[in-house]
Amino acid sequence: MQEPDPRTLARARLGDLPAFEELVRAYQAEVYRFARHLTRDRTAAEDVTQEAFLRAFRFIGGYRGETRFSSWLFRIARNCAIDASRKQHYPVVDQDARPERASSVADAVVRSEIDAALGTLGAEHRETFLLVEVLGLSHQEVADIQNVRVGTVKSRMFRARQALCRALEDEEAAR
Amino acid sequence: MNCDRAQFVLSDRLDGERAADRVGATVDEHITTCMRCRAFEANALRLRTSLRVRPAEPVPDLVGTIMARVASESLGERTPMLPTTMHPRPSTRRRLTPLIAAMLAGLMAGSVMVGGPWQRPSTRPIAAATVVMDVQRAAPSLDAFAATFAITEHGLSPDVPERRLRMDVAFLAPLRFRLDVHDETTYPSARWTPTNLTFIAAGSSTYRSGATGCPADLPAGGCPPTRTTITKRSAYSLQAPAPADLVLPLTTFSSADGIQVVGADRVAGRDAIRVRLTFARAHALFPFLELGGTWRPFFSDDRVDLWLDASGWFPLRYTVYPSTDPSRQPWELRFGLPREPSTRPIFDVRLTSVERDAPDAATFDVPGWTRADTVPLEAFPRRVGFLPVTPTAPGDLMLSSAVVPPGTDPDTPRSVLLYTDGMAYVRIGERPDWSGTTLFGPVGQAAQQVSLATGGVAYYEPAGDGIGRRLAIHASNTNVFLESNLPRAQLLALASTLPIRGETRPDAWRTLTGSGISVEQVIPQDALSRSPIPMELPRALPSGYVMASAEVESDVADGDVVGVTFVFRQRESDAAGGPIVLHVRAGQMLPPASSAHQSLVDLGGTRVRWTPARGQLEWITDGAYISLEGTSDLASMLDLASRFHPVVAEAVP
Repeated sequence: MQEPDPRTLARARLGDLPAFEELVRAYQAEVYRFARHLTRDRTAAEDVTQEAFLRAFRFIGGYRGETRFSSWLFRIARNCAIDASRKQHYPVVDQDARPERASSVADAVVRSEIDAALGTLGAEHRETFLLVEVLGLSHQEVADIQNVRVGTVKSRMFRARQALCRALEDEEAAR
Repeated sequence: MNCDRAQFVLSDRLDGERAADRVGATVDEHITTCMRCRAFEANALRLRTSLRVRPAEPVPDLVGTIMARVASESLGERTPMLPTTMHPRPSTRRRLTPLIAAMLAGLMAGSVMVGGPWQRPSTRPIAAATVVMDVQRAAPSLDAFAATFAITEHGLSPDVPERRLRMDVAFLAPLRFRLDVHDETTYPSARWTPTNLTFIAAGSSTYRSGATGCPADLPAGGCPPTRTTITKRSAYSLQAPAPADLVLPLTTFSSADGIQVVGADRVAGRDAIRVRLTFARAHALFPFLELGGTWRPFFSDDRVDLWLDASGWFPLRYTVYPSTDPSRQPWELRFGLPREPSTRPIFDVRLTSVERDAPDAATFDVPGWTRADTVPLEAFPRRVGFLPVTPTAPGDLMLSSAVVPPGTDPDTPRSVLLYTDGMAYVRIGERPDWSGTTLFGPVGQAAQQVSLATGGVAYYEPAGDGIGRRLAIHASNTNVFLESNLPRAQLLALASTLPIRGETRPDAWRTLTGSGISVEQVIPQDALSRSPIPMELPRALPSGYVMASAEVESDVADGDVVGVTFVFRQRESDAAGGPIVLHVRAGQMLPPASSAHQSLVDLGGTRVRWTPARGQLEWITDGAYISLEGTSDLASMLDLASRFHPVVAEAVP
């Protein structure tokens, strides 16, 4: 994920609203997608995205560039999602989800199996897997977001892949 | 190498992490002979492909909402009512602001000079929320303004296809405004009455004179100019000063909702920010339409392009274009207008000059008006029997006047204090012996109950209907209201420094009974818990809206709750969108038709009844009757309804 222009970041840190808006424009889609995966609820994801940027605005003056900006922002979004889930129980099943377009029936079957398999992962493994596979973040970035060691990210990725591959194999065998 | 170790390295490699050459080679060797690890690698790749190439779910555009919240928070933190106490302030003449100074430096008296000392603003994008913040920040430092605008109007009548008028606008702190419109049109006959107007607002008093509207088909001389002087309520009129947005568009820019920043521009040699909004949203920039005379009609959705001075934030120019909305055509027919193409402007207001000096105080003298009874604070106990409450930390706001309004009307405050700082103002009205059965002051029953920082509660309403933001406080020993153009956060901060503690309104004040039904004003959480239909409210509200208040309707005979109503309002100003009222009660069918103009429309598979005259959608879902009232624009209402649609939760068996 691309890092923001350092000048934009510097202006935003000084409270410059247009600069901060540039950051919102650049990252809102990715933060929303991340929140959407975490909450599995469209409305909750919107709430989490808004709250994440509001918190980012409050604390951006304290951002020292020790981690990538995107990692810092995703970490805030993650905390917001955790806070929100404590206050409100998100539905386990995503009632908003609409059938996605698939290029073939086979694709649709595979995706449905993957979605089912993702649901079987523990929260930490699922989050790690999505950050790497869906958002394309590096192990180091994910480690910064989750506040864990890089080795833990590697291990979680391995375990998640093993579980998902196994679930896919089982599904195929059952067909 | 065992399979777990090999798959760990394969997983790592998939993520672009390099293993040591020796380890990598060992793994490559392993998978040539291990079907299980080859399957793992193939499935992991399949997972990735499937996840990364799946169609992206649409992502909502949250930028406007986020930035509005960010700007609101930013403004809230910038509260000016911090540690200071009231202190003497130099005369306003001395405080000619940087804005005026800049104008004087760059403009010749009587004409706009091309060019000037200002730097072209950066071309980086500017947020509507930034404009809102800058406009509001400019208010305290603006002490004087005098300018002339040229107005060009098209389409008043086939006989008068174009009119030209001149408008002089003047402001002098504290809270003195004057607006004069001079009609320079050459009319085809004497039957036409020129639109010449004068409006003066001085403190809390107002004066208006001018020709009333006159049908053009009256015989010559049949409709002479008439003069009307508004003197009633003059001592404490609570109306926001009508021309204020021509000096600084505080009402228009009370929030970023409905405002689109087009970009930087240059108008009359000055750096400008161009924004776009609807006529309804820009209404405060057209105060002259309400002050008398004859004007062409405007469609609420007509487009307004507005250029604001990039340093002073006053309007340099604004132009109205007909809306492309198809519903404008029947509207044109109704007003006897020809088809108006959306590319041709129908109204244009442009700044032509600013005066070199701050206007003379005599400019704002109201003809024939006796000055209100301004008294020193310490004289109030003798005059009215109490000492008015005053904010202990008004910051830069200064007490500009303290009056005892005349009259014996029981609704009249016994004291009105006016605090100002440039164009920013707060009025504080008080009546300890209030005997009414509603909140005291211009605050309605549906006001939002808010908590004050120092404890206690108050009741808040956003700006709207020509009046600023209001706050009512009912204390054990007095009743107070505040009316102001300060942002909500600053108004609440100021109210928190009043030496009184607001109480919730008495039960008798919040309950109305009639026709066997009792309607009780409650906080929304109470309404939710008492609703006859198990329900949950949508978490995502339209931008700028908050859940303001709620009502519970009960059957007087048996006390059963029969329905609940929720009122959603804009946080800062109704200018950004009127109230939205959601009513829910048990029901299996819609009530009988109440209007000849109703239709059925589709809302995600549900048949919904639309009543345009009331801007109301009604439908039945899961044993509940739902009514949603908002605007008369169907598309907007359906969008709203789609947010409100899933309100009814499943009943718990």
